[in-house]
Amino acid sequence: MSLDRPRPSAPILRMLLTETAASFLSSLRSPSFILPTLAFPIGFYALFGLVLSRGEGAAASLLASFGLIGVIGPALFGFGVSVAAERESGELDLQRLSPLPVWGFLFARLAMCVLFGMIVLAILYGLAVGPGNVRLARTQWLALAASQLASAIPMGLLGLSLGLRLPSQSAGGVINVVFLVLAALGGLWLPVQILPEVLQRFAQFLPTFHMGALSLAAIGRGDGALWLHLGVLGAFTALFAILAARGWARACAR
Amino acid sequence: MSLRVSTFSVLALPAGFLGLLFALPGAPAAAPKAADAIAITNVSVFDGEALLPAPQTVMIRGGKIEAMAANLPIPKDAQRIDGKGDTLLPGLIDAHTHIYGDVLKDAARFGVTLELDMFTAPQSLRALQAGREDGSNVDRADVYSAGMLATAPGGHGTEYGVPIETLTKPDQAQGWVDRRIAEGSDWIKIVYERPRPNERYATIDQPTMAALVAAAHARGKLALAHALGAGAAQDFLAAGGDGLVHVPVEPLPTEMIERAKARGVFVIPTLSVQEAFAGGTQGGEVLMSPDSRARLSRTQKSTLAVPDRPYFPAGSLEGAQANVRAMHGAGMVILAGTDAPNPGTAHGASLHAELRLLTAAGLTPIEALRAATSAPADAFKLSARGRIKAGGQADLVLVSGDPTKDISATQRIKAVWRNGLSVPMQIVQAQGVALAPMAVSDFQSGLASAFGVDWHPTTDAMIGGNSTAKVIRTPDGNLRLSGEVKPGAFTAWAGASLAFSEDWSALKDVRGLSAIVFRARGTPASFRLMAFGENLSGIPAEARFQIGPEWREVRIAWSALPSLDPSALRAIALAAGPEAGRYELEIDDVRFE
Repeated sequence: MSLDRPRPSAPILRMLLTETAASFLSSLRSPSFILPTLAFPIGFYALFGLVLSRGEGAAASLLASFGLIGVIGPALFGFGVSVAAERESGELDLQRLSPLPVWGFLFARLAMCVLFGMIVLAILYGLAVGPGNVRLARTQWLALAASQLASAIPMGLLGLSLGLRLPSQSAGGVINVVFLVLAALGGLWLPVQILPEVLQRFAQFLPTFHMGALSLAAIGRGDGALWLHLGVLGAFTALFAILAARGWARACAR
Repeated sequence: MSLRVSTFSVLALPAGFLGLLFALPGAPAAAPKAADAIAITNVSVFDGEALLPAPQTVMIRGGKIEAMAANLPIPKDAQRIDGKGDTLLPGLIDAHTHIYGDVLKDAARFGVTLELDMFTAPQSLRALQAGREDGSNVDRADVYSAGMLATAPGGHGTEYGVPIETLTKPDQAQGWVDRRIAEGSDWIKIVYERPRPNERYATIDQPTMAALVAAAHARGKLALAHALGAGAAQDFLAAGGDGLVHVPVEPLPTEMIERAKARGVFVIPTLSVQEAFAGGTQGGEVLMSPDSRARLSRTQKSTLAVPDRPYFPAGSLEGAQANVRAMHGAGMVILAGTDAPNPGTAHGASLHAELRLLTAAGLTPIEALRAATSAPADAFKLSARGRIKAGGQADLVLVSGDPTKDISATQRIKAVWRNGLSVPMQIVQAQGVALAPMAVSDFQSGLASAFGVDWHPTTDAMIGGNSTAKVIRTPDGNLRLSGEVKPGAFTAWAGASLAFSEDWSALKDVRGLSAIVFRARGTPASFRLMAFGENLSGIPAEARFQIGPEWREVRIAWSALPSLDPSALRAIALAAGPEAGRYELEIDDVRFE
């Protein structure tokens, strides 16, 4: 990429922090971002996980899947929709001229998504232990949070590669569809076992299915194929990273 | 909002989130808390294979067997248990059970630390399997399970009210197996018989059965079969099946047994349930044994009650035993399993009866002990189970005496450890509110009772049946029950029930009462009083009564319901069945005396 980037004049850490904060702040000010990413998972968890849930353990297992929805949403939208807009408005070119390296920009954006994920998870976990009466061991809470927050990485990369390619006018719509398909068919809205057989098979080709399996494993409901799920997610992450890198190169070449 | 505040939040948010994770109400920790060390000294050890030649000292710490030797220095902090005259066994494995309700503590109190479930509702699977890998279960048995079973529409397994995905064609097999694995099935259980005239249950055909075996093997899972007919068992083994979950009753050809032995096929005879279904009394003996009685929960007592008439024809137990004898003689792997909680059996308790039945069928006590420890661990590839070895999981049973000489010694349990922690032997269960003699319902105004709760229709639809019931109050002030009993459920009934609260949560203690009395008339037939105890998953206790077209007084003593624990009655029902047919019954003046 460009070699004539200005040399950083401020310590890189402070720049990262400032960029993350700016990114976080601008997202906070955008209702079209906050509403679907915050309100949806919390509202639906309250409905399906707490009000309508029956049988022991539903509040806990739905916490695993709705927590993922809560993290995946900001990651897809935060990268996808805003990058598409920034690319077209020329902000991205501006970004490339700034002293912050490309990875710093991406890191800050990812950190923003993770921060949002933390807000959603904090509220969901609060609902789970309060009205949901979910009890997990400390190691399970930590593993659950880690597995869910880590999902921001592949999903952020997917959002980025979409945002770098899609026109800003259609980015929101397309990413919404991608989000819903990944969440619903990956078994995060409803357990994959109740889907028709064809869809059950299809689910295994979605990264969200494997994320769900990992989050369930974190709370002691794993299916035993931990390494398989980790491997598949690693492959997806690599794939999305390649797509994002190529998209970036394309956007730069223009 | 200034940028500064926002910068602060970037740092504060993760810190706060991490703080929250640590502040969330902790559950029992995933790992057992490092128990104080326990030293069992001077104890005979059956290690899963054989009785060790000399008494041992066994050190338990942190959920594991830390060390075992004839002579060990005992650390100061260790709790000492003198094992002189006692025998230490690996936690016992029941290789054939069904888990409904809260029964795993019942199993642990009887030294059964692992149950291999052969069919349960798939939605309860994950919860049952929880904790088996990380050693976090310390007061209940762990579970591995087949989950849903493979059967035909209307086949065996469909009669319990658990929704079942049935199949009929070989090309459905792989998808079916894959869905079970996704649900959490640890192996595949297939119900298969050769079709016979007048058979109550439908069955999948031979090609579908063979396709299921191949589909399970394609995914590295064991394929097991419920095949009671000799021909069915033969077909299953020819298709490459790995194990039989019951011993067939019909004589098995010698060459079939030889081939099964050569291929390493195992059999779980489940003589306990076969004995109970043939009208045997082994279950009743367990119920009455002073070694067991104090450790039996209400649920165990109710399921141990033997059926009121044999389900199996005479001679079936002898046939099963003869087959076990032949299989054992040929050197086949035999695993101890009970099929609890079928009528006449109970989780935990019945495994001890099974060990006795196996020795009666030709196994030595040591061979019977292997059948409940190392043999099932090997057959199901559960390497951490079924053996006592340094570094292994501390699932242990201490019994008084030497079960390698006298198998009944397994019932004299002194202590059970799960993951290094002692299993509580006391039973915690709800107590009903005592009732005094009282009028219950005179039906002068509606369907009400003295408990403020109405009489309601009840049918076997509760367990998946098809019977119908209508309950009305007649103009002259009687309760009229009408409808039709239809076959379909495991046991068919239809009638009216009265619980002591609308949600069936209230329990009553009827020990201070002698009988339930009411007036009745209707279609001349046999009706029954059903009494639902605390645990609704067992079969309800019942007593029959006869009526005719004229009013007569019916009096049924509570003692006529031997399997009911009178200290915890949840509901009663007056019902027709299990014989199919239309019925009409009028009831008046119900009272408790």
